This record gives sequence, C-alpha cells and structure tokens, in this order.
Amino acid sequence: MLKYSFYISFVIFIAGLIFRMARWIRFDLDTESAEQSKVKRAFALWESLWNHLVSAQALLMLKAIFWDGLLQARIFKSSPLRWLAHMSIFWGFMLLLFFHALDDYISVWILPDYASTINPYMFMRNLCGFLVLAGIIIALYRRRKQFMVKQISNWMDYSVLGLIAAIMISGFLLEAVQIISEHQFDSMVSDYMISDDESEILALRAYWAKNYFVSFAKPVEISNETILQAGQSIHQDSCASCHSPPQYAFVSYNLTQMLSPFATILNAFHMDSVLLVIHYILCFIGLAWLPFSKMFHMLTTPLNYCMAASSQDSSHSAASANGKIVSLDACTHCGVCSEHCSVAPIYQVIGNDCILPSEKLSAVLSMSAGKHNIVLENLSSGNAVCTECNQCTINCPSGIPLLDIWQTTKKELQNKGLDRPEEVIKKHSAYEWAHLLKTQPQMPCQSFISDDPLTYEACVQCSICTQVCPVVAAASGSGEPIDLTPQQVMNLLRIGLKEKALGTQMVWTCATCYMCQENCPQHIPVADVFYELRNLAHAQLNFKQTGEK
Amino acid sequence: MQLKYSYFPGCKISGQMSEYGKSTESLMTLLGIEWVDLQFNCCGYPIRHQNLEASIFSAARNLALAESAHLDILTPCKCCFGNLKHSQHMLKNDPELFKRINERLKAEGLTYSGSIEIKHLLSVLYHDVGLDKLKKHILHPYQSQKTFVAASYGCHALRPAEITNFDHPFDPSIFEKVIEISGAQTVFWPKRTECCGQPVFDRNPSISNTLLQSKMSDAIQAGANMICTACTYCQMQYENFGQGKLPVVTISQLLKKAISGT
Repeated sequence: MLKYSFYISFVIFIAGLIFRMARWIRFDLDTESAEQSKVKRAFALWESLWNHLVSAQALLMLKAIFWDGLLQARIFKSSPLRWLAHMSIFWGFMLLLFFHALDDYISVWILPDYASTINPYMFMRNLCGFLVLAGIIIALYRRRKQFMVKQISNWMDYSVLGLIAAIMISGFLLEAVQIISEHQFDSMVSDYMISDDESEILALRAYWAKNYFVSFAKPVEISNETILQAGQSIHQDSCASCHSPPQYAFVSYNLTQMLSPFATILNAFHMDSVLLVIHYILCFIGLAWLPFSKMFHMLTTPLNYCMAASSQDSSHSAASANGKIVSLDACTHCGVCSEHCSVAPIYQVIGNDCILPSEKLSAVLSMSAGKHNIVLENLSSGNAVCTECNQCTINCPSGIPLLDIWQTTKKELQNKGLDRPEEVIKKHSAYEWAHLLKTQPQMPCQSFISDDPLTYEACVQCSICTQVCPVVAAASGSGEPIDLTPQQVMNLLRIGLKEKALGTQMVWTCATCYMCQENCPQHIPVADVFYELRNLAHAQLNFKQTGEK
Repeated sequence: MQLKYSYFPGCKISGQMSEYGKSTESLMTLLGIEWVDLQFNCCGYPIRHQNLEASIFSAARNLALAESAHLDILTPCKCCFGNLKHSQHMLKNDPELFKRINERLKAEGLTYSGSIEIKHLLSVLYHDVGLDKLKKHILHPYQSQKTFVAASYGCHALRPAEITNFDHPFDPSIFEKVIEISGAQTVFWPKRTECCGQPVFDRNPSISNTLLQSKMSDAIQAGANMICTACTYCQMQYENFGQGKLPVVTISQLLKKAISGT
C-alpha cells in the first residue's frame, strides 16, 4: 500500500511541477510579455534553465547558491530571528531528506558502516528533527507575535508549518514506539539471531528489556545477573554492531519514557506499524502538495537567485517574460516586505490588502493569469498608494525585483483600462460629475470642514485666492483656463452645491501650495477644503468601483 | 551641546533620490550632527489627497517612533516636514482624532503624546547649528563674484505658516542666509516661494511643467547661474523638467562642497 501511495504522490508531484512550470510560460505580467509567442517562450525557458542551472556562468551561480541558498545570507540580513528559524528548518529537513528518507540510496553508499540505529546517525537524526521542530516553533512565534507578519499570515503558512511539524512528530513517535515494541524485537531476532535456543532468546529479552527498554507482554525477569550477563554476550555477538543505546535518540528516548505506562496497549495495537504508515503518508502528502503550495519556493527561490546573479537573458524578451513570472513564484510569503513597507500604516486605516507588497504580489499573479475581476480594482487602488521607496526590494530575502514589478503593474493596469481616480475624474466635467455622483448610492463619509457653513461664512468673494493661485495663472497662460477658480468653488460650497465642486479641475489640479489660504484676508481654509473635497471624491469613486468600502 | 536627531529621509530618498540622502548624511557628519535611523514609514504626504486619517496615522506612527527614542525629527524634505507638522497640528487640536490615532498605535505598542519637535534640515542649520558655527566649517568657499544662487524654498515648509512655523510665508530669508555662509551670492527672484509644480505632476503633467518653467525663467531673469533646493520633491521636479537650463543642486551638496571641497 505504501508503495502505491508513493507512486501516486510522485505522479502528482511531477504533474504539479509541470503545471507550475507551464505557468511561467502561460502567465503574462505585461503586454510586452503577452506579445511573445508561447512556443518561443517554452524554448526560452528550456534555454534559461540550461544556462542558469547547468552550464554558463557556473561560478556566479555557485556563489549565489552558496551564500543565498545554503547560508541564506539575504534572510540573515533582513531578519536574524527568521534566519535562525529558516536555517534550522532548511538544514534539519534537507539532512533528514537525503540521509534518512533516502538512506537506501545515499547513506548506505557514502557513510561508513551506516545503520539507522547506530551512532552518530541515530543521534544526528534526532538532532535534525529537533532542529526542524525548534525552527517551526520560532517561525510560529514570529507569525503570532510580530505585528505585521501576524496580519498577513494565512492558512497556507500555518498548514505548511503544521505539515512539517506533523512529519517530525510522527517520526519521533514512531521511533519511540519502535523502541518499546516487542513485535520489532521478535522480528529482529528471527532475522538476525543465528541460534534459536529458547534460553538464549530469553536471556536476550532480559538484556533488552533492561537496557533497551523493550516492553514485553509476558513479564521478563531483569534482576537475575547471570541471565543478564548471558544476554549481554549474545547482544554483543548479534546486535551491538547495529544498535547504539536508545538514550542517544534523545527525543524519541524521552518520549519512550513518557509512553512506557501505556506500552502494553501500544504494542497490542501494533502502534509501530500504524505510526510507520502515518509517517510515510504525511511525507507523501508533503511530496504531492509541494508544487501546489508555497513549499514550491524550494525550487523557485534558488532559481530566482541564479537568474538575478546572471546578467544573461536581460535583453532576451521571451526569457525575461518567463523570468518575471518565475520571480513572482519565488515568494515565500515571509512578510518581510510588508514589515518594511513604507505605506503599511495606510493599510491599517484603508484596509485594502493590496497595499501590502506580500499580498499585492499574489494579486499581480492573478492579473498575470488573465483574471479580470474585483482583484484588479483592489490591486489598482492598492498599488497607487505605493511611494516607490524600494524598501521591499532591498529587504526581500528571495531577491524578487519587487519595485520593478509594481512599476510594470502600474503601466499594465492602465493598459487594461483601470485608471487611477485622478484620471477617472478627468473623463467628465464638473457638472457631469455632479449628476453622476447624485444618482449613485451615497457613501457615508465624514466631512470636517466642507459641510460646515461657518467655514465660508466670512468669504466676501474678493477673489484674492484666485489672483494668487499659480495653477490658475499657469492654466490661463497655456490657453486652457481652469474650469472654476478657487473663489468660484468657495462660492459653490457657500450656497450648498458641494456635488458640483467635487469633480472640478480646480480641486483636482490644486498644487497644495497654500497661497490661497495664506493670502485670504478672511482666513478661509481654501486649500484644506480642496484637500477634503479630494478625500470625499476618492471615497465616492472607490465606493462606486468596488461596491463596498 | 551635541546635536542629535532621528533622521527622516523620506520615501523618495530611499527610492530614487539617493544622492540627496548621501550628501545630507555627509553634511551631518561634517558638521558633527549625530543621527539615528529608525524604522520610519511614509510621512503620509502622498496619501493626504485620498484619506486624511490614513495620512495622519502614517505621520503619527513616525512621531511615536521618534518619541520613543526621545529624539527630534530632522528631515531634508519639505513635503515630509510639512505633512508631519500638519499632522502634529491636527492631533494637538482634535482630541477625538488624538484618541483614535492612539488606539491604532496601541496595537503596535506605540503611543503619541506630542513631545518631540519636527525640524527641517534648513532650520537645523540656521537655528540649531547656527550660522557662526556653520561659517567656521566653510574651508572651500564659493567665489562670490561667480556664484549666483537662486534659493527655491518649497511651499510645504512655508505655508500654512501658523502650522509649519518655518519662516515668513511670503518673505522668508533663512535659506538665503545659509547659502550666503558658503560664500555664494543669492539672487532675489519673485517666484522663489512659489510651487515647483511637483504636487500636480501625477494629476496634470502639463500644468506641472508650466509651473516649473515659469520658476526657471524667473530665476534666470534674476541673474542666477544655479538653483538650490532643500526638498526632495522640488529637486525631483527640477531634474525631470529642468532640461539642464541651470544646474540644480540640493543644499546638502552645496554646503558639502564648501566644507569638504568635493
């Protein structure tokens, strides 16, 4: 059964791998990428994989693999705590994978006198498992305790950690019940003991019950020194070369001590066989799920490091179209970008998760997949908030060129007809907007000063605001006078026609230089009112676009 | 007294205007100003058009960070300066807002009380370092007969003056005084306190350009052979639209050269 489970999971793994790699060709981040023929991109992908992983620029690749892949220098730079967690999980898991899971193919060939139950291998296995679990605890701590990471952590992050933890825990439990298993003892005796003398077997049972903590259903006399000595000599002849004392399996051994009161029940139910199946099945689930989960970064992140390290292909448009999608796939959802994101506090107020780079990235991936839905509108308004401070790119441990991606996304969204509010406003005149805004559902929105009659009470329409406004002057000078002057906008507000003011060019072309406000003899907060009108119009437009806040 | 600040470069310096950041840091080192880098975020200026509350919260988080380090903020950007000042003013005068913002900050373990000051680089040079001390550092003064600098003030530090408290809103002088310390002469140009056009760059590029060009011609007409800025956004605007009509330097570059020769 285990054999077939493995075949099934391996087939799913390979299919998943092909599916994910096909996305590198299928998805288009931008129009330029979409124009490349898919056949050309398939060849380019093959060529890049060959160039990056096999042949050219081997030294650069090796350097990237060594520093960023094996020592994970980038992760250390962005967060030492995360580095500790990731190094523990990575090294613990990789060593277990190669020397424990694949021991028949690797360990027995390259390690001297390898047997899974002797030292140092038994100890090392426990150490690796312990490291992985410790790393998972640090990772969970980080995801639960750090302000920003807690907010972005999703079911995928937790379930991957949970699955790896389950593999480790089932492994430790398996080893623990194997230590106490009478069934295991019996089968080893029948396989490896030359003599089948009943008294010799009894002596060995006594020795193993005392020193190796096997729990026998029929009580064994362990206080008789003569029998124990006889048992020891048989142990030396038949078992010692493959069995170190179980204490060296320091995690499993301690579990054994805890489980010993239940040993009889555990043995009666053959828990060693049950846990073996559980441990294997969990590993197979991991294998099958790998290409579909964020664990896929095990392949894409090193690939992205290599692509970033090489200067090749940058001019080759088919390859760079693929490369953009590969770099999107290299994201591990660690959240470091969002921790460093300059506009993260704005997310706390506005609540559009496409403001945060770690979340925006998956929206960009859906855009590349050709999805046109609400995701794109959120992406458009979230991406518009970005100040291009580049902190996400500088701190990304996977080396993803994030700022490039945001800039490309900005252009691409415009190509797709998703204009930012300042562009949308230009599509209609102020009077058309007044009508449009009146007919659509009203967004309940807080106004501070623009609805307060006291704000304009003192306005005497002296037109000083208009005379000092550099925008009014610049527009008149260019032959296209502004639709309404500041003084006229104030007048609209004064007589309660706020909707007519929301879409005026004046409000949206205000340079916020505060000349009007500072010069106003009546102290009308003209520029502050303009700010507030833009706030209200923004709220109204977003309301219209998404149907919700 | 040792001058020490929390240094607030602003997003544009870390993103695309790294030159201004580097020269500002060198200038501070040369003048013996100490600074610390905190995990600051956006000052809130760009989002103010869209959502005032988000803008104020963004600013307040920076102020709270500086407060927890017990350091005043020093920023070389006038838009950052103006917005931080504006948010500080709003928080001081609106107890409801003050409460709401502090509730949000609490989620991150921060509090804002309003105990620190926000200073622009020019104010630090003029008031905190002082012109006398600044003068002592000038070892490579500009030739006064050859260097005529037009100081481009930047609106967001000047106005609203009752909030920014930087200098006179229409007839300021500290920028010129700081420049003159370097040996260069300054010119008087009527549009020196006007908008550079950057704030409408996204919304109306053509008006943005017109505003910049009218400033540029005004500076040339006044006899300037160099423009000096003290704001990241102004500098960006001159670099984008200036077409190289006049060299445009930041105050940090200008002083650094007069102090260290490079």
